[in-house]
Amino acid sequence: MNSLVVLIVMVLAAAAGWYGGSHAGHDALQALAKAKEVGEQAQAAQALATQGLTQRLASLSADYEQGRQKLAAEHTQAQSALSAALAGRDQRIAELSRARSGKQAEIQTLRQAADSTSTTPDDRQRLLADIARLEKVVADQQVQVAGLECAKVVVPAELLAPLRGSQP
Amino acid sequence: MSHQLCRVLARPPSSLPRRAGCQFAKRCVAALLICAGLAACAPTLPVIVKPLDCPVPADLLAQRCDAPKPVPDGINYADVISLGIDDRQALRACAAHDRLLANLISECQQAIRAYNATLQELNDKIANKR
Repeated sequence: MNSLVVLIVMVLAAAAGWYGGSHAGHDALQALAKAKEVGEQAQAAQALATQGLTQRLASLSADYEQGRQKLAAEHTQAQSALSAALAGRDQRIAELSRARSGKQAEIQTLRQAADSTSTTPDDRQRLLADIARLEKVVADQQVQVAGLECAKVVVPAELLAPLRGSQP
Repeated sequence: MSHQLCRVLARPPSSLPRRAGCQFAKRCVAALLICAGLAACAPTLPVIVKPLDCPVPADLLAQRCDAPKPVPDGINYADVISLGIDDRQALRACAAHDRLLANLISECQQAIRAYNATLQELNDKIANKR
């Protein structure tokens, strides 16, 4: 009889344990499912963010590379333009000198006409304006010739020193 | 080893004889080992999420600005202009590279901020579900 009571109590205790345990286990399984879902969402977000960032960085790098090539092309072009200007320097100086002589002769003629007694005041005014314009052209040409002649002149050491700074 | 463990576990005063206490301790150890084995069967969850990387190409990071070209003695004014062209080119390239790195860092920071906000949203979602 005693054994039967003990057996019944054991069965009841086991049933109560099973019920309680399964209830707590259900909560744990739900929490586990939630945690898994959130973890997967976080991984998906990481993959998406990485993909977007990689694309943007690649786009920026490509733009930079394009700009770098353009800069290199401009540099080559600038050095070529300088070389061409220096190669044609003597010819250009000769052209400018000839043009300047022609303009100076023209100025001389206009000045004589302006000084003539037969010239009306209006004509004199117009001739003086032409002379002023031509003198400006001659002065510009003079500056260009001086600059081109200067290109082959050695730079004095005292002018190079500030350009060097602390470097050789 | 096992005997020593039995001794330790069976040492507290008990109504059970010494031999029975040792048996009980052995069963406890066996149960613990089984529990540890079962724990290994639990599913793996991605608890720690990967951080966001900033994948800047190594060759871009390794690039350096060119120093100004040396100015030798006895150069003429045309040579100075040529040096100026070279140095200006180097400066423009350096500025472009500097701008690129700043833009890359800015993009990375922006992406990391957005990613962190997403993680925060997920965390908030978990907290609200609970």
